[in-house]
Amino acid sequence: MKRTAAPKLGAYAGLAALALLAALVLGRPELVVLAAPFALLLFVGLASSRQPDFLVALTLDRDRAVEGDEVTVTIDLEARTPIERLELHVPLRDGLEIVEGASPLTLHLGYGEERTIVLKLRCARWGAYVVGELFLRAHDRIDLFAYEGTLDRRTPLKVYPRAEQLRSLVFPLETQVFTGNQVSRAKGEGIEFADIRVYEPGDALRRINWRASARRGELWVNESHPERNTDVIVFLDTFVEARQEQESTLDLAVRAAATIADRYLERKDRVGLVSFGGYLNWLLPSSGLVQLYRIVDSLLDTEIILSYAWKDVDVIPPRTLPPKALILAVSPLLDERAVTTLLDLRGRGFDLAVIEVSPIPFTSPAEGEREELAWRLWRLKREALRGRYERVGVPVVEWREGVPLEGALAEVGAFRRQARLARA
Amino acid sequence: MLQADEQEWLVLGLAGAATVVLALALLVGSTTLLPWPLVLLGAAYGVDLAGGGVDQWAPVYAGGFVAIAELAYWSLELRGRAEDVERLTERRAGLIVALAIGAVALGGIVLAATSLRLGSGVLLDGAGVLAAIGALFVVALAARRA
Repeated sequence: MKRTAAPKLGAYAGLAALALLAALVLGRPELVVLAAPFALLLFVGLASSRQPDFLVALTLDRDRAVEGDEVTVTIDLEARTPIERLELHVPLRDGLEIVEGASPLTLHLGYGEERTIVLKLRCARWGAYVVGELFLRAHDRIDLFAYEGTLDRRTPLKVYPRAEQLRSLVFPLETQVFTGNQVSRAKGEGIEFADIRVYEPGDALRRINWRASARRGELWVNESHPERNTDVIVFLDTFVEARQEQESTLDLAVRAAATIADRYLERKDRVGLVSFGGYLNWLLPSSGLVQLYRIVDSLLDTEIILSYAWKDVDVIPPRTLPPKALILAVSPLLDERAVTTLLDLRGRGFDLAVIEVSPIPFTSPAEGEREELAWRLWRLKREALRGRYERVGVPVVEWREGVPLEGALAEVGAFRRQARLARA
Repeated sequence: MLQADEQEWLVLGLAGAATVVLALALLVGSTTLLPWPLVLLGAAYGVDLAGGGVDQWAPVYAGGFVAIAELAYWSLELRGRAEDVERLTERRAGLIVALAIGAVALGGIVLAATSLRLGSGVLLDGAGVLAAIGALFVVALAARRA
């Protein structure tokens, strides 16, 4: 720890020297009496000054939590030398709040004393945090010196986005070849009845529809819709965000992305991730619990990185977007690059739906006639953008904080049903 | 040589200036300003002593000076300070009281020592200067070792 002299040290030395000098010049012993205590304090403080020696250990009760959870930080202190006053501070990033305990705090440690400090933190926002860089300052008894230092007891803490309510999902138009929970439109082996056809050599006897066969005088077999899995790509727009105080469109988008990935992976679907913004990040589609952790861990690192470079769909690796995959884009539709890329994906034949994380709640109400007009124009422009997507067959649903995500996805399903009827 | 009423006004002026500087130092939170009220108070005391005998209350003034210095520095320290986990305020207040009492006791011993008749002269004055320098030397040595 680095030792620094307190302002008192110089002041007391100056006062003692000045009083002694004055006593000699003026010949007054009373001034020596005034100087004596300061000189003695100085001497005692300097002679007894020692580097403090203590042990510090910091532990978290867990290394993973979900938004809104509380995490306990325990700091164990053991003093090998007495410390008159120890100031301890655990700096925390935005997103972690202290609900019980205090930081910074001051305490006294006697020789050999052990002390445990407990801090309860509330995980207000998802993210990857590192807790445990400790700032310490120890003062001696007379407070002539301070010993400052930083201790690295950093422990990672992952706070996962809280899950939104979501029971029903949007089903892709096409399925893949592996077994899953999605009833395919194709015909083959399965549970759900599809059709009957004439028996062909090689068909299993248990598939024979005896009633139909008896009516027609020849063997007919049942056909079913097989259960297949689907590929879903969560496309996260990280170019820009709309923010107001502690919340932003990115926070909502990450929660939605994590919830969507979790629900589809539960159904044995393959889920991939594309984080499209100043910093491009992707995960190839895969299934299982490991993939869920990969996706969520990747989402924890999501942040807005300012970039003026033009990006389009060509920068995305082709294997990230398998054919016949459903692409669920989560975007505030504020950046032209994301808007153009999504239209481009649709133009290339991808099955696309857009969940628009509405930036309107994060904007301040307009004050003044001109500002009101500008705001209305901006909203009309957004309406026109939605119309542009819908004309090419891409459902765009607006979603806000407090509105169930399920409602937004139900609107996507309703749009696709209407589109199918219109085509028919 | 000052007249009695002139001396009185000078003492009051210096004491008033010391109060103002102390108030200013506490208001702006400046540790640089804090020693100066004590210097002004010491000067006021020195002017008040002029022409008189040895003041037997000097040890009490020494205790007062130590208490003022400690309290002033503590006041600035408490600003923006971390939350006390335990009763450190009481501990510090007790320490300041003990230091003030100790200063009075030490002052009394020093004053008693100065009442010893050792004579006078250049040699004694020189010994006094050497003792003062020696005291500062010891302090500097202790500072270097620390």
